[in-house]
Amino acid sequence: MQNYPKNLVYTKDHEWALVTDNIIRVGITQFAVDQLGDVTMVDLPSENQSISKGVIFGSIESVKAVSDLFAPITGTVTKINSALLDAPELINDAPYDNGWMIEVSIDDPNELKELLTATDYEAFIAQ
Amino acid sequence: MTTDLLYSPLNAIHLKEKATMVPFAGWSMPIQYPQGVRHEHNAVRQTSGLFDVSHMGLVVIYGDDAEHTIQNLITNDISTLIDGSSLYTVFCNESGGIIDDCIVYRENNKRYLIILNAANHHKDTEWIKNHLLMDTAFLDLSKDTALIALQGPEAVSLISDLSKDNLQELQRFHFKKALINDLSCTIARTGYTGEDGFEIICNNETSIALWQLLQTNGATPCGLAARDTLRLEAKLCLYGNDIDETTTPYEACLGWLVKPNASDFIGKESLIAQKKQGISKKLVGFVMNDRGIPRQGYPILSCENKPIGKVTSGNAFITQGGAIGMGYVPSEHATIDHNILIDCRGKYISATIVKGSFYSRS
Repeated sequence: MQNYPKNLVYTKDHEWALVTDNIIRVGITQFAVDQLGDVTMVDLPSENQSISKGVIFGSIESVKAVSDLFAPITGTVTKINSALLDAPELINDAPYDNGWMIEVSIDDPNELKELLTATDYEAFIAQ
Repeated sequence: MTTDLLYSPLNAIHLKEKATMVPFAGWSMPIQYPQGVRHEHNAVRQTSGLFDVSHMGLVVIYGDDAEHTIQNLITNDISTLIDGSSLYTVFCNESGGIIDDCIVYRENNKRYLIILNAANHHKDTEWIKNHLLMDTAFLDLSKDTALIALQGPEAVSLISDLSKDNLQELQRFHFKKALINDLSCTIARTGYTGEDGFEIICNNETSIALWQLLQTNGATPCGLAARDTLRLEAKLCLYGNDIDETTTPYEACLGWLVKPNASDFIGKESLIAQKKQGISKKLVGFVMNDRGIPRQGYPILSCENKPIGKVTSGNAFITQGGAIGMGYVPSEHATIDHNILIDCRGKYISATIVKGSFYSRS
């Protein structure tokens, strides 16, 4: 199963994070994409905006419904994937790749310990 | 309250196709197939799509007074029908509120079919039974028949290749009995997507072979989610969202369904009075001017931030991009090119009222 890459960490809100030094790249998991169906719009924060772990940083709309996006970590947005603004379907096509959403510089690396491994996340969604 | 769900005769096919099944109006129906709503929606706009709408109600009214029985129930003029033609209409209550919208098909002047919304099936059948005239009887075929819609620019060529019954000649809102390959059905040139196409009535046993035949010949299976995004683009009302018993045909831009010159029907006096006085609210279609997707229940505001109504239907405009919606606003705001605001979860997004359907096939 390639659904939950081992090099990523996950949240119970169905986001993934790729950690590189002090920066994490964030997106939503294949599980979330499957639940949402076709994505029609994404609202992302602006660059340099602060976000707080567990607090809403944006929203995602699908044909079915609108859902909030929750920050996996506290920090400052350094980059957003502006391609999503015109092509939100990238999230359906490649949730771990071109469908990434934001990059965040981490305030407190200790928060990373609270994120789930791929194995833990798979166990969580299997519940 | 728990009730057992009803299953379409095509249920096994939906499961085999790995459709996402949802309870809808008491039936377990496919909301989408694995390739998703966008794929299905685009198939209907560009090639052809196949919908199981067997959950819809199908009743027969027959007998010497069938015509009068139906005219009493509908606002449209049944005398305009000939054998093999159908019309779109509404049932209204005494005050002109819409009980349901439906299509009435005349087989002959003593036998008519009516296709009803699944969600209103019980209410409608009670209403009909309570208004049957002498020498008129009622049959409910809803559970014994399947209903399949084939919609899209390639629907006509697809069906013509499979039938010797000249179905390409069938006029819009006309229907006839036909053989598709060797499968016997009643086929109507109607639909709910804004595209050309057919709606096909057949018995439960035939439906599986018919579905497989149409799918094998290129039609894409589509679920109820695509049906909703397609009908919204064509600005076709959905009962329960855009019309209900608190709205009249005039308010819902369905005034063309009211024929005051027809014989008497329930609600006629109220509707004539409303037409004379003018309506205070009106259903409008609007296009979002900025990023935001309107959804049912979102408040509509005037440009001065004053609440003036609610969104009744809304979604992404899949065919052309952006987002669209419908909702009731006071008549003074219901003018073409008038700007309004939609409260999308606290963000006020500008929208413009537009004329007619959002999408029109070329």
